[in-house]
Amino acid sequence: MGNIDNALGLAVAELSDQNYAHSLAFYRLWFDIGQTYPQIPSDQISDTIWNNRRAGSINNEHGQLIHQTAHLITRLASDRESDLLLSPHTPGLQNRLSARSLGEFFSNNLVVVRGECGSPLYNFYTDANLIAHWANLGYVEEAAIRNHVLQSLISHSKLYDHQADALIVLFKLAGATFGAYADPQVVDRCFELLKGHSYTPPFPNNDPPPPIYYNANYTPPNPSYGQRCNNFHQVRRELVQVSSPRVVKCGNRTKVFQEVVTLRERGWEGLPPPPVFTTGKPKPTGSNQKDPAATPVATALGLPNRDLQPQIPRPPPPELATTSEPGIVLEPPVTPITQSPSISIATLSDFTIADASDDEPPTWPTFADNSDDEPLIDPTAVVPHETFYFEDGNAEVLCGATLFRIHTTILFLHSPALRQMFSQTNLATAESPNGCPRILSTDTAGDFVTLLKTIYLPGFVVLPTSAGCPTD
Amino acid sequence: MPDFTTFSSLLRITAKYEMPTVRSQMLEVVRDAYPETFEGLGPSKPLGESVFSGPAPHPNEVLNLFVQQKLTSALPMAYYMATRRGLYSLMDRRLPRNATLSPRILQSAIGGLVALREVEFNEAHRLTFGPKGSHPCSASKCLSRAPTGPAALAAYQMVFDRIVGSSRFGTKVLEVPEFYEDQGGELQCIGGGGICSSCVGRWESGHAELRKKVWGMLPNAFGLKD
Repeated sequence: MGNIDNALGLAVAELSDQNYAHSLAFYRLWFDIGQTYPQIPSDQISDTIWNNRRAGSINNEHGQLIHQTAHLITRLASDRESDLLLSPHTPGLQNRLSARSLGEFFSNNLVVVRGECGSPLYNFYTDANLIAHWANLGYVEEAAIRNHVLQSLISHSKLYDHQADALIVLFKLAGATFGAYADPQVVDRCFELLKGHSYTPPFPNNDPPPPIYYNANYTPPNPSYGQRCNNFHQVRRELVQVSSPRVVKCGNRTKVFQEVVTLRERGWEGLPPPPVFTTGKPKPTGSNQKDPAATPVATALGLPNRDLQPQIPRPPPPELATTSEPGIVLEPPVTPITQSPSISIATLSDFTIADASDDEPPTWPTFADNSDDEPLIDPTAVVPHETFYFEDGNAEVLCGATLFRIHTTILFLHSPALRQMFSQTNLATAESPNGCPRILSTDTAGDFVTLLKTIYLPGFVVLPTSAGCPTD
Repeated sequence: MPDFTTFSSLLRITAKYEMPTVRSQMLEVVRDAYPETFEGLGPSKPLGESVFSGPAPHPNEVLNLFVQQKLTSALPMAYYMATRRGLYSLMDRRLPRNATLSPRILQSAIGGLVALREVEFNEAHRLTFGPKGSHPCSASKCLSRAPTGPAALAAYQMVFDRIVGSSRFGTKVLEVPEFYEDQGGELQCIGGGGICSSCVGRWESGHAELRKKVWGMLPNAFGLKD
């Protein structure tokens, strides 16, 4: 088992443009052999790709931020997912890997801000590269591109070195995608910060800095420890070691930044076009897709290009990387996080009663109305509630497929809203299939049961602060 | 105390059907578990989702309910409780629909988490090593007397870890860290007991100040000041 694991990992680790076909065949062969072992885990493919995703080179000491084989890793995942032999073992592989990259990206961003460099830093760079490719392919959910990825990098009061690098990577590889979907103000803010950013220089010969110990007379100045530690080449867990916060311009990074600025000025010319999120679900467009109309239209308007159709239609991934509902309109632009919040004392308003209007986006998880989850009610499927269907009741309430028969006079006593609901006018115009008027409610059956229990069962609501039976 | 399903039902129906008596009692419970003021954060008081009977709800679910019900006073604490579990919990796709955060809420929560962690890290340094110009501890047996010695540094590292924890998880900055540990039935300061009670007292009072400061910044951190 270990040998198979190693062999599969080797196929990923040795990826290159030249030997891609060989690696694919090699990987397929070893996985085929692996099938003779009944215990082979179904997520073997996902894990081997994930564990070896750092294969290839990122040498950020010399201004090199682009992962040399990240595009092959995403291609490998795509080929695995569509491979006849491997596809049963890889449902939603690209979605899983992209979600994992995104999670690690956010997490390692925080880790490096804290000052733990080394492995988290290189994983962060790798994941930034992968996210750029996944975003171009449509596997990073639209909301993440629009609201989270860039915002997370500019949410501090100062741009850290690794965050500046990540911005460059994202724009250099997926500028068209982020330019199309991210808030234009956020993109502007990114470039503004990049323009004014100065890198902390690496230490000579890549040596770790000499330790300077904190002592009682030392107070760490701003920027924080993490800022000064950004270019350390080893994990510096000892919190007492700091470097001199020398700040100079870094020539290589400046050059790379200028390349990105030029790319932006040319409308991200030559970059992969933004993916299409017409259904709110990721539409894989294939790494070879070229749609000359896509980039200019999207970038010229600064809006997602939702009318473009992928040239290579493929079924959507089984595991969805989005929460958007089909057919929804774009969400309103969100306020970018441009600086750290200032310290202030909270003075909050009192509790307020929820009103009927709710400006949340349609992706909002609703509680009171699950109608979009439920099919239209079949009249024959309506079931009377086992407790709250009183034969002597004078009105029926239908919640979903559950029918209640209640006494309006009792409900009247507890709430003006119920009095309105069961007004004579409403009752007179309602249908009466069972000999008494039936009111349709938008409540879930569960909520309505709670309401009836509160009204009919004294003592149902016993809260720690209540003395007895607090019905209205 | 009812379970969370019943509690959330009650919150919804008492709003919809205008039942102020029951609702005010519900809100009292919310105020107690998700306090509006720093004084409400009793160290031994059950807070957050642990107050509900039955299986504790996911903090994201509580946050969604409070946002939907516009319980603005409870939102800072509800956001904090959600960020306690870290990024993976905030973004977990395996959660049921009512515990999945909308993009807007997720953005606020992540922004808040980042802000709180930054303050936590920066302040923990000052807290551990003392303010600028302070003198080493004068107690003869206290390790802090030689603050750059290996034993003192090891103790400082433990103190820092107690306060900040791991970056992989969420912030716990509002919780009171335990600077003592049980050593064979005897309470001893972490770090082998070499730190004097006056230094530990300084950490405790410093952390209390940090908690107060963080509490004050919660609404801004989660974008609730608009």
